[in-house]
Amino acid sequence: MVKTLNTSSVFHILGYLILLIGIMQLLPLGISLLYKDSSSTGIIISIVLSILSGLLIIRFTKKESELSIRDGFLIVGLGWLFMALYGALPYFFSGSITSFTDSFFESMSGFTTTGASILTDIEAMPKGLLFWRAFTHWIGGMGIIVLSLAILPILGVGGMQLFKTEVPGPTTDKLTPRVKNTAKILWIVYVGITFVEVVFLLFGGMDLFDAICHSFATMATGGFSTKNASIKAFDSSYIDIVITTFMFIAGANFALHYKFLIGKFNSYWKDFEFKTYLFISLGVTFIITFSNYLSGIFTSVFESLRYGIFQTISIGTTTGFVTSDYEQWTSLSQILILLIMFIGGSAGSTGGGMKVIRIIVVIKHSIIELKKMLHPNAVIPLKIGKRIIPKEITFSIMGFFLLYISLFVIISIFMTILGLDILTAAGASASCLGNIGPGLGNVGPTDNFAFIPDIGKWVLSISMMVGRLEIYTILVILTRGFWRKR
Amino acid sequence: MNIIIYGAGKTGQYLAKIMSSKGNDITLIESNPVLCNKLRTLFDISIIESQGIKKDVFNRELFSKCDLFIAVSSVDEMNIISCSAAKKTGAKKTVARIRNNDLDFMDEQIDLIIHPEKELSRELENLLTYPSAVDVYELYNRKIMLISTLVSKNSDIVGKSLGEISKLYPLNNVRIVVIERGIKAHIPRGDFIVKENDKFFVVSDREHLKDIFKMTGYNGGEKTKNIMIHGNGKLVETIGLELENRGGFNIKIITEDETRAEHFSETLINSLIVHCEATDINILAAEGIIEMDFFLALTENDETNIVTSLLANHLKVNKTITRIEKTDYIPITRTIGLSRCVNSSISTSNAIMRFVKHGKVLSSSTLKGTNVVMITFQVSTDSKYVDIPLYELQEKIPKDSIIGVIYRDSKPIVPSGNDIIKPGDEITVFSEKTSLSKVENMFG
Repeated sequence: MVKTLNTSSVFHILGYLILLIGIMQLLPLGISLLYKDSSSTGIIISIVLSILSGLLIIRFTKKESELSIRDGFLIVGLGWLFMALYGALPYFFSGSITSFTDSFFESMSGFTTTGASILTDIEAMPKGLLFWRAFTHWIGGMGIIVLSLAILPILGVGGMQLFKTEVPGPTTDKLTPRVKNTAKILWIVYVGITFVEVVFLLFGGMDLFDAICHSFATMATGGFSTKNASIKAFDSSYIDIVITTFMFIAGANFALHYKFLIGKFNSYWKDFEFKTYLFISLGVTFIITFSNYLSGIFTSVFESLRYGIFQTISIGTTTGFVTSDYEQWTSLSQILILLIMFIGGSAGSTGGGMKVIRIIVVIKHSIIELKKMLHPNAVIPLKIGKRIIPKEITFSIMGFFLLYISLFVIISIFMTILGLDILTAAGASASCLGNIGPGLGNVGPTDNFAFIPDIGKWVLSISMMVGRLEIYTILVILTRGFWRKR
Repeated sequence: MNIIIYGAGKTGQYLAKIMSSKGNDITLIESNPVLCNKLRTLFDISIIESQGIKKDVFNRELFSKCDLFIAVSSVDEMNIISCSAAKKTGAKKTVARIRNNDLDFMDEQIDLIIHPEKELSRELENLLTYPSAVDVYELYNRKIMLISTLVSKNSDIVGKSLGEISKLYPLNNVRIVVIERGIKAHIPRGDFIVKENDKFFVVSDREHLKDIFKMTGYNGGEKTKNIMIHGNGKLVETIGLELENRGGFNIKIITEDETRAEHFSETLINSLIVHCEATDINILAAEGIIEMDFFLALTENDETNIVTSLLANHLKVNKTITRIEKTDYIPITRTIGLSRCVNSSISTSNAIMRFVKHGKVLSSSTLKGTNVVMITFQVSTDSKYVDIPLYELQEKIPKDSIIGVIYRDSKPIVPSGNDIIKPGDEITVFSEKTSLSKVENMFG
């Protein structure tokens, strides 16, 4: 029989996840040995610890029965927590980040593709760890549960529910009847596009290491760079264009990319969310470009466009790469940057934020409410493209919207209690909840999160996870009803 | 295999669950949006919501990949039309379930037409023919029987191990494949100690069935004569006609529906039709239920069937057949003392499964109410496990699986320890779901 909560089964699967994290650390170890940097011993200790504890958990638990809905939430929630904990070990044991809080923050920021860092001097980090930072982005972007679904046979039935909790967006369509195959397709598309970006970046004169790290960070919409000055360090319009393009691709629905690649070329144009996403990106770019140019921040339209489009796409897709300090821009530009932080990428992308589709639904719903004031008895369905959105999904999205805003406010208030100024607190909160990276004020594009008190770092780390797993997954675990036997 | 199922009723869901667990890609087309949402979270299959047959669903894109289309919606006509639409758009094979019509001539569009009533009726007939059996299945063109029977307390095998029993009853052409105790099914080994009320699943040819019943404590000479049937559907008519044709039975049919009663009295000439409440003990007694060998509860309502069967049990008719459509109820029937039950979803699915050829797998079906799957497939010529006597081979295959039948040169063999499997043989294996793929890999 299916129990409501099956701790042994849950931990059995978590054991495999931890084992997987351990195995993944072999890659940065290889890089570290290749460059003969100082982090090798630390990474080895971390690998041994991860693999051993993973094996021990697998040994002492067993998969008893099919997974219940609660098991699914617990697996994803705890899975991400453990992932960040074990992912922090290489930083901590190599001594490159001395405090465990900082290591955890950096690791969580990596896996959730936030890209917020506590490092003051990135370039001083050993190459192995710089690679690990980018690699955590890449794994977290498409999601480790989705990866496990694709490669591990352990999850079995109930996989769809896990899949839904990790893939962003209010509704998740399967591309094939089996979750496993859908997960495989998504990962193959993801790996493929990443590879193409690496090739393009190599043409732009980046070395292989930087090209790979930046591609990982771009495709995951992460934002960790290997340079202190982020993408600005390369100061090449070619690299700007390549990264802008790929950030935009990463912020769109991967199911659309798949459909495009198998020959349905009009799939983008048929998708209302994609059109809106494109419209928002171009519209905001346009306004920012002219606002900055007319107020004399940039001397030429071209320059204003180059930085405007990069920064708009970077923040809009929640990547968080920087080529220009937007805090020096006009107030109009800054408020727009703050706005698109909340909107985020498309459903089914690697981007964060609230997702374009949810914003569309919220706006359309409000318009319908207005119409109903005039025609109280009218039946007006909420349509997106030709599809009617069922009431339950609309309500679920309204709830999400409300929770998102409330969490943003609560976290901001908490940060001000810790002594941050209003702008910094709001910036940090929006940035972490939306998995963006740079915020405003003292956590702006040229700053970092190092100065925030430890307790603040923990809260922000958890809020990154809440944001990445789209709020409901984590909050439901925290309700009393979840743990009740009835 | 890529399978599209039209209609997510009980049979559709059962098929989706079973076939998806066997590694097929299932797409389910259903009109009820609430049901669609529920199933989306339950099964790892893709679900399309569609009211009727729509152009954007029945298109080449979806159906050109379709290996098998199964129409099991509640409306016969829709099943036929959807099959022909599926064929037109590229489905390779189509199966339709037809309940209330005689449309066998439609067979150029439809590869297999299934009448659930006929499948059920066949199963009922077998149960009535072998009253000591609890389930009866036919394999290999009805040459081999798979039956299940409960070990009676009179049997002298109670408390003995299977090894001892094989010395006590050196039976040829008989193989005990599965033993069900309580709600758990075991694939038995020589050291398995038999208890009273264990349910033996045995394969055998028809001639040796008697030996099995003797072994499990029945004298083997039981015959069915008096049968009482409760129900008013088409199934009652089908089984009634079948039994009348065979002759030798006294049939009483009880129905609450007056028009149906009149209809039955016209078609079933040799049966006595009684129009009354079946839950009324006095009427049942007056109609002589005590003299009945069998009571068949065949209404469309599971709960009614369970209650009337229990009533019949209470009135000392110990052989009842209960029609139960909710598969979730089947495991509990033994607990409440109803040993024989039939289910049209399962018998329909089994009929479809026999028709499906999945790679080298010729057919597969699940033993009712258990986790054990019976699977038939061809042994590949490069399998390493051929030409080994079965008693040795049994140590090599997974513990929870057993070889039941070997089919060679169009002759089925119920094997004993010294028989061997040759390349190219068809074999039927009984296995727990978990070890199924291992066994397939060994011989496939």
